[in-house]
Amino acid sequence: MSVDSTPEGDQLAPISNGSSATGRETALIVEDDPADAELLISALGSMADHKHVVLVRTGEEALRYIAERCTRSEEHPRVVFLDIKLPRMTGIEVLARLKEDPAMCKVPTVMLTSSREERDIRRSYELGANGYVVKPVKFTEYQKTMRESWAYWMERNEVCLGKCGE
Amino acid sequence: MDATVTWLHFVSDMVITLAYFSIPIALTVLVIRRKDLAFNWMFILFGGFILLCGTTHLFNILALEHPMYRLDGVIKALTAGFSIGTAVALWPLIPKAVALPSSEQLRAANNTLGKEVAERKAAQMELEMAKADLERRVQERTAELATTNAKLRGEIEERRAAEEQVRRLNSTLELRVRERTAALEQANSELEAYSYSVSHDLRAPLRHLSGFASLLQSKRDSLSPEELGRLTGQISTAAARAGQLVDDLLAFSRMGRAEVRRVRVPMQGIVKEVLDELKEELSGDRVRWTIEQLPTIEGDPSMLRVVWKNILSNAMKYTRPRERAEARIWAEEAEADGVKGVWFSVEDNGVGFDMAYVGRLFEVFQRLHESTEFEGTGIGLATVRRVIERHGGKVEARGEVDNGAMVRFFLPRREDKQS
Repeated sequence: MSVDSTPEGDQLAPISNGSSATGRETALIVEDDPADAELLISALGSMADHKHVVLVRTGEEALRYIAERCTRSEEHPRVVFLDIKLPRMTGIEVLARLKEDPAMCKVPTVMLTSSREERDIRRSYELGANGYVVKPVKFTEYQKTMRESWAYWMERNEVCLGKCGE
Repeated sequence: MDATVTWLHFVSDMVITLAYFSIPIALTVLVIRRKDLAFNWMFILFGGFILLCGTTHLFNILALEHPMYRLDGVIKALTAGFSIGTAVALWPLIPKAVALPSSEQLRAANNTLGKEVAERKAAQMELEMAKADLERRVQERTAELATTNAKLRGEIEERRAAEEQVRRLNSTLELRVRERTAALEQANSELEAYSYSVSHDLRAPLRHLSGFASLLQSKRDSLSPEELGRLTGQISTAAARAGQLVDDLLAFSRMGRAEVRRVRVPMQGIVKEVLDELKEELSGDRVRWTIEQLPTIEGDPSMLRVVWKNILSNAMKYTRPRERAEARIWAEEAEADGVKGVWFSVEDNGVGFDMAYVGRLFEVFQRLHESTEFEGTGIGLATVRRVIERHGGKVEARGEVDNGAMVRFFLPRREDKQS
């Protein structure tokens, strides 16, 4: 398992060259709470071993990372797990920015949050979120949920991106 | 001639003369007295004629002694002339005299007239009575109308006053509804944020507790002492975090519920005490404080203490990366929204914040810094705002990323205004 933590957003992890033959694909995790980040990696355990996990702590960093990958025509992250409650720019705002940009909207974005609030769920899907995962309090459930979600998004070959590009 | 016959002539002529002479006198008196007498000139003619006749009889007496034929003849000729004149004048008068109404007729006419007059009088009286009655009625009706009019005017006035009052009440009601709606909306959004935090912020440390405890359990056989220490450290941090959140939430909720006392609060003293407390709690204070003269103001001392504690601890927290941490506290008398009061300001040279998010600064559970950089629950400034707003004041902030922040609050002076 290799995890790159990028607190400043400039120490980005090496990414794949676009060839799926290497099997290295990137998942971007946007999580401001280091404890939550550690638990997430622990929950994925061996599942994330052959994947490359990139961790950023703020929405601004996440946008910068995705934009760079998209404009350079390099392979963008396979999926973005996006926390809603972030300092300054919220996960909802990051999602809106991603989905309104024709270059970045192809990146599947899954909200990963504690919020079970109806308005957060509705707003997320309205803005074009590709998934909404509520973090369970109990670790065993959290582990199960994360593994299922991870498997779904990382091991699929084709992704239906809904209204993106319209 | 015989003496007896002579005497007979004498006496008779004497009586006739006297009688004849008295008649014109009587006629004259009559004509003078009755100025309205018809044909009075005829009475004068008659008087003259009779006087002349009397004079002829007087000459008859004189002729008994001394006949004076010449003079007697002249008198007779005069009498004859007068008689003829009178007789001639009399004839044409007869039809006219006949036409004159008799006194009977006059009386009857008079009676009729009298009756008519009486009737007229009665009618007039009736008329007058009717008129008086009418006038009385008109007066009554006028008075009635005046009363009704006055009443109506009064009613109109009342109605107008009532309408005015309704309008006034309506507008104050609208204002109150607006205020109440705004207050409710704020309460609602606070409540939403509150429930949001319970669903998000409060779950996070619980998830950490469950997570790190599970990790500890699953790795219990292969854990290095360092890893064990780290995991147990995470667990106690999560527990402390949960405790802190509950405490802050309770404090925040208490600041919304507790009644606001209004006593004189010496801000200078409160600030000194709070700074001393903070130095003790945070074990040291690197900030160079500049504290200007702060006035005494009306408010709730324990609530205002919470306000200062939050603002001053923020200044300490966000100046931590500074080599020379500085902060200034000052107050200025001012007027905000037409209310006299005091602005209390705290400015530091800390890490500041992005003005784009200034709207979130005073909202519950909103943080503009990563928890890894600066700890906090995001309740402090929300509590500050709640306390200040409950005092009828307001809060403001200004900042620049990496270039300091200024937080200030306005408290109204209450001396002349009861809230």
